[in-house]
Formats: sequence, C-alpha cells, structure tokens
Amino acid sequence: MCDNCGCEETTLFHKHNEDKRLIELEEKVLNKNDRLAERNRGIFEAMGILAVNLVSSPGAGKTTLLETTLNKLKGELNIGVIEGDQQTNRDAKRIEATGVKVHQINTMDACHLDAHMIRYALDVFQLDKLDLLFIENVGNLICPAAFDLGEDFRVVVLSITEGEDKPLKYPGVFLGSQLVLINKIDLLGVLEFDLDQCLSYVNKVNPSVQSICISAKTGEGMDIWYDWVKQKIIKKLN
Amino acid sequence: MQNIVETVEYYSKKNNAKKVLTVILEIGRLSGVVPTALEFCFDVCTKGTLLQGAKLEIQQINSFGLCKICRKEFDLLENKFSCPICNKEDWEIISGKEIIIKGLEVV
Repeated sequence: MCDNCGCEETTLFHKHNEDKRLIELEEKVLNKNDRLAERNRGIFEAMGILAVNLVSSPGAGKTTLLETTLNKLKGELNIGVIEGDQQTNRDAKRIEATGVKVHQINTMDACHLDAHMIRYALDVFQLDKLDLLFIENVGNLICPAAFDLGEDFRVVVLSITEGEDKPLKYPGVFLGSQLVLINKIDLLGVLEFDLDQCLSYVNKVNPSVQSICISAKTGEGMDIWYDWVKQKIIKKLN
Repeated sequence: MQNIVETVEYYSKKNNAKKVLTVILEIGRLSGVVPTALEFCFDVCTKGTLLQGAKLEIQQINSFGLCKICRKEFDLLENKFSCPICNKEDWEIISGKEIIIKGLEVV
C-alpha cells in the first residue's frame, strides 16, 4: 500500500489518491476512563461511601498514613482500602495487619490506577457496609493526575524530605486535588525545610486547596486530618 | 497512547477510512503529557493498525488562568501561577489540562 495516499498502487510514481478527508473529533483521549469514573462515582453515591484517592511520590508515607488512620478510625467507621502498586502485595499486607479489608492491584506496566481497575476492585468489598474507601494510588506525581477514579476527594501527600518546591515542579497533581497533607513534620528540626515557603507554593499552584501538616509517625496534626475525613463523611451522607 | 490508537481506529473504521494519514492532538501544558514521549512511542503503538505510517501532529495548548480579583486572563506557567496585574494567587484554570484528539486526516 502507498504510504502517502493509502491506495493499492505499489509503484513509486503514480497519481496519488486525492480523496483525503478530515474527520473532526474533539474527543478526549481519556473519555473512556472519565465515563467509567462517573460510573464509579454513581456507585459511591448510591452506597453512601466517601472515596478518597491518595497520591504522592514513592516513599512520601501514604501507607504509614493509612496504617495510623485505620487504627484510629476502624472502631467507628467501616473502611476499605484499595492498594495500587506496580508490583508486590507488601502494602496490602501492612494494611491487612490493621484488620481492615484491603484489595491489592498490581498495575505491572502502568504507572497509575484507572477507573476500570477500581470498578473491578470494588467487587471484593461489601459495599453496602462501607462508609469510607481509601484508594492508595501508585507512587507517582505525574500520571495519576490525569486519571479520574470517581473519587470524592483527591489528597496529595507531600513529605518534607522531598523538598519544598515539589508543587511548582509537579503542578498538575496539586491542581486537581482538594487537600494536601504535608507529612513527616517530625523531621522539621533535622532537615532544612522551609514549611511556610512550601505552603505558599502549594497555594500558588492551587489557590483553593487546603493543607494540613502532619506526622503519621508521631501523630502530630493527625486529629485535624481525622476531623477532615469525618466531616466529609457527614456532609456526604446528608 | 493505546487509548489514542483505539479511539482513532474506531472512528476511522466508522468513517470507512482505509488509512490514517495524520492524527492531530491537542495537549495542554499542564496535562502531564509530554509530547516527545508521545512521539517516541507513536511508531511502535501504531504498528499493524490503520495508523501505521501516519504523521502525529501535536498542538500544545497554553495554560491560562483567570484572576478572580481583576478578571485578567494570564499564562499560568509564564507568570509562575501569579496574576501579573495584582500579583495575587487567586485564580481559576481556563485551559492547559486538555488531552484531546482534535481530528484525523484519512483516505
């Protein structure tokens, strides 16, 4: 087939097929994901589940944050966790140890979770009993930003070991999030980290985002985070 | 990329096209998608499809914000996310997050 016009002629010099047409699409590349995400959102709405999508770089402390949070809240709320990692079920095992129902997704080649994966993961939970679903995304500040999972809130965990300029370097993920948890503040005395500077960068790339400074290890600031979660659940149910 | 190939093939077949000559994409500067990365994998991903040998045309969309205070529209990346008139960071995003297949040239 001729590469220029697509006709069956194989000789180099022939009259090219002039029948070129332009098809206008204006179609979002992630249309399919967005549609599936809306379906997930409908499920969460119908079942009265608050879904929180946790995103961060690898090693920012998402799993530790979850362990501490689950141990605190599991007595008063029915919680489920979906874990996303490229490989292994190490995180799922850590969550399992808290006694909370967890499902591990291994994305293999993919660097993010998508709405389709979440839809299938939901089948392992007793949805009518759940109040709260945490989705721990793959550790990555770029790709998860583009994929709506149908969650109510996207929360970025930013640890102070990463440096205060992460929001400026990776604005996309901060732009679409509703809460930023600045983690590992127990290390403030050890690291040269300018917390005010970091907070101003966060507000710069997303003026309407809320920030909470926490240490998932020592528990500092965690009560404000728990209140945030509980308030969002109450708001969702009313 | 897989999504792009699938969507393009779907619409090409629907329009009885024999071959795709050009794929035109609109990519926002805050979308997280790197044009060179798309170009890099385009040849591999299109092999054996109606898109094989097609040209990839990427139109980048600037990231604009609307200042909520003075209503000025400004380029977010160029102005480092601050309104150039009132120097404030109270804005809403207007453009820059797009990942869109704008159109196809087919025969």
